[in-house]
Amino acid sequence: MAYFIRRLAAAVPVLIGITFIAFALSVASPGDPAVELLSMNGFSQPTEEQIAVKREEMGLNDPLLAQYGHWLSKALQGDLGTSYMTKESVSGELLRRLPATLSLSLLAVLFAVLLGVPSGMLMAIRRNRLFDHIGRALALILVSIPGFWLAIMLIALWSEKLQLLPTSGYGTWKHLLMPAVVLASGTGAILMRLTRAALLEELNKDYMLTARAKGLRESFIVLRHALRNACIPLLTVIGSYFGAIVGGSVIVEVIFAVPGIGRFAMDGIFRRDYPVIQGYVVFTGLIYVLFNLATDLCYGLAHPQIRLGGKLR
Amino acid sequence: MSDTLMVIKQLDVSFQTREGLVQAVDGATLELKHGRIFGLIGETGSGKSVLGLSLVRLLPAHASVSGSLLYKGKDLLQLSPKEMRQIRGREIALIPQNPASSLNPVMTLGSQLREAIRAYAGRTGSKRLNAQAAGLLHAMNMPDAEQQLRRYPFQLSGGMKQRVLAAMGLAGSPSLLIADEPTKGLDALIRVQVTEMLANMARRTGAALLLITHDLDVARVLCDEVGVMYAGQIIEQGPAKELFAQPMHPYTRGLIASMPSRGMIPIAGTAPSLTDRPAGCKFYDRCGSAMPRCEAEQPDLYKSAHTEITNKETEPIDGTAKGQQAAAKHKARCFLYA
Amino acid sequence: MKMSYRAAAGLLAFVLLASLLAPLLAPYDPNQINMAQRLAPLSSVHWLGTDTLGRDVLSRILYGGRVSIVLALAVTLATMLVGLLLGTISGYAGGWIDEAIQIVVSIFQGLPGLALMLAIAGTLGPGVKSLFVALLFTSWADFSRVVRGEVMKIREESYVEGTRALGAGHVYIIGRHMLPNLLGPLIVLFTIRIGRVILSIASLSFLGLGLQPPAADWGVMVNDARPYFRSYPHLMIAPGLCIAAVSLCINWLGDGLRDKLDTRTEKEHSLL
Repeated sequence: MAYFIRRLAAAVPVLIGITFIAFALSVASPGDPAVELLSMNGFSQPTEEQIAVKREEMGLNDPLLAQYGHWLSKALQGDLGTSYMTKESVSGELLRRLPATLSLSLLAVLFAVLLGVPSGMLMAIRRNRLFDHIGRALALILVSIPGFWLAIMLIALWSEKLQLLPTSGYGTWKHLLMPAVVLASGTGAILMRLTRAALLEELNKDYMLTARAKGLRESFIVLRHALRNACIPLLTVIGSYFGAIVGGSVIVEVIFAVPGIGRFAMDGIFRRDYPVIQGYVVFTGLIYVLFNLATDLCYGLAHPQIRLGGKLR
Repeated sequence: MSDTLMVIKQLDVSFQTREGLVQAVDGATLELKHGRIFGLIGETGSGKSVLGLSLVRLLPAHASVSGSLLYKGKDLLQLSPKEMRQIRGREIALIPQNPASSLNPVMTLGSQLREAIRAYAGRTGSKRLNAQAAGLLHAMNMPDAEQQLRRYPFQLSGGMKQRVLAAMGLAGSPSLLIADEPTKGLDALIRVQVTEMLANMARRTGAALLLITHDLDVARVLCDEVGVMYAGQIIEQGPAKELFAQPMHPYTRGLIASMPSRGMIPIAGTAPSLTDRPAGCKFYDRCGSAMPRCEAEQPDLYKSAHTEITNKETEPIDGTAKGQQAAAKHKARCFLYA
Repeated sequence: MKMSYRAAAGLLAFVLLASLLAPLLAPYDPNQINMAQRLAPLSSVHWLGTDTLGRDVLSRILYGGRVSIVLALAVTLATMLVGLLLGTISGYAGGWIDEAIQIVVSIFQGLPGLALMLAIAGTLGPGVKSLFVALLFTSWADFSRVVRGEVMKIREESYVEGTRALGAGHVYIIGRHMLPNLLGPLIVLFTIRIGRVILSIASLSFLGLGLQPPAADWGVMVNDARPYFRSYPHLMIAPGLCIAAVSLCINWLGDGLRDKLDTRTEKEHSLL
């Protein structure tokens, strides 16, 4: 229990920091938000007076810290401002698009785990044999290929040549397949290597000798003893990858026209819609932190020493 | 002789490493007998643990082993991996060193004990399995054996973990028990307790015990026969009492003189690297009584000259007349006795 | 060094040399527009054909890595200096200074890198400068964490304690004992990081947030070629392969260096 509270407490400064960075972005942005907002409203050329009024109205003349406090208190109530583009609340817009990004990310993590964990396991067991060499080469290639390029290549093959999958859009599982594969490729490769390393580490531990000395079958020992221990560090990694994938989905959302938060953020960037960019940073940061917390929880549950309240190490 | 359980002949173990070929065990020859305790002593890195592991063929894959390991007449080195697995735990059990890390941290003691019992006894009901597991712990003087089964290794002290490991080793009623520094990292008091427990267990069940230790006191008090290892070789072996009373090899003498109870006089110098061992006597560099021929020539094992005197001192433990034979077996790898 | 690593180093050296000598090797000006020669096929005149504006693709490929590679080097170097400085202070000083720096580190690690990178580059507007800032902000934390870990490990070593007992100053201890020990892990981290940064630059350029057209850059070229992919796939395959090859060689080399210089931090690196 103490462990969870500690993890929770550690997340608080991170969350505050994320909001601070998001706020700092708007300060650092070139141009005057008041002018941006006024010209978005249809005024082709807002007058000095209009700008001054708007600035006062938006609180832009207050000290920065006060502005931040004001913005934060609104953000805490779920109000991340209004999008210049759509004139709707940013949080509403992001929430509406979140399911697309989440389902894409979830599928991607699933693919990454399906690729990474079993092959990493086999690589560790067959260390320095053919499968290991091929796996390591494959992992190296997968982390080196730019995702956007892989995406376009996949479209060329599956949509244009074989005409089996839709090029873009969202709606059926077929739409999600290619974007998820692209998102999963790099992560899956890293997971392969991590699984291999984690299992190798466990295979060399003293308790493995104990298990072997009992005369148990090697496959049984690997599955029951080594894998169980290797999974614990992997669990934390997989959780944080999920957060990273949510944040990294922008490229595939753009290429495959998936209506998720990443694509919305890109639109915001090109239209200089700063509240949207801000909201996007807060959202992805929040998701990242939440998933890290969730994995910490899983880690705690999987680790008897933490679950039963013992001190670690 | 019918009380001979295992004969190890000319055992060589080497490892191919990045730094070169490491000769970890070199021509080890020894005999393990029912109900008797053979102590293997030596410094860290002398090859004693490797020797122990090679008996159950649990060395890492890059080890190459030659010689013969005749266990009940079968050469273990000729067995298939599957046949060897049948031997492990049932016939020859290993109690590993490092009690702190030798239990799986995420499994309860119960499940680790039960899987051992299940491996030997075949299918049994979970109630009976639990009862057997608790019984094993109980036999190791573990309090509240039933409750202990539900606990995880991190909840136990080092001595307790060692008892659990010992219980696992005994789960298959093996004929040979290899205890690899079972008391490493334990307090002095618990050290004596655990080792005595193992020794009693071996005597009671008639199993042979190979006790690998660097604790000379333990070896002297508990063992019937002792082998001293240095740089991969058994450089002296013989009945424990005689070996400690009249050590032959200069290294053994130095080792005994370095015991806390004998004044803690350290042996000068360090042991040779196992990748680049000297051609002659491995102890040549550090030896006070070295002769010219020791440098280039490798000494054989030579018998003790004191057979007559030592006969009277080594009263056989089990009452049979083995004094003569035992004394004759005291030998050392040193030209002083050539 | 093993054969395969030598191959990686050789290929990388080849690409770097070709990029370096691009002004000498390139048959045409990479930005010379020739509308009469639009989308020319592969020929002896234009080995890799021309793009939609009639620019010579081979010339653009030769030039296309220059900015990314130099930028990646500069960014990674800057990142390393920041990480080294903060990591050393954090690990060496300990106490509240360490805690304060660690909170900042955890904030930056608590944000998905690409999202923050996009937001920064997007907010500051496209261009090399905002790329630099975006990349620096998103990768210094990992560096400083690794440095801190190493410094803390070394600080506990007895020889450092001994030097301190002899009255050595902090600067002396850091310079004499810590930096040389940090060298191995830093070289490995530096190499691996450069590979990641090159991919990030390409991705941002592809999204239109990094280097801008008409710059001759691999990422920009992939994006430019997208509409013509079906009929002219080589326009996209060639620059894409270049990015993949450079990052593959660097990662490969990083693996080799890690095996050689530093086996302890395998886990930390693979997490990056």
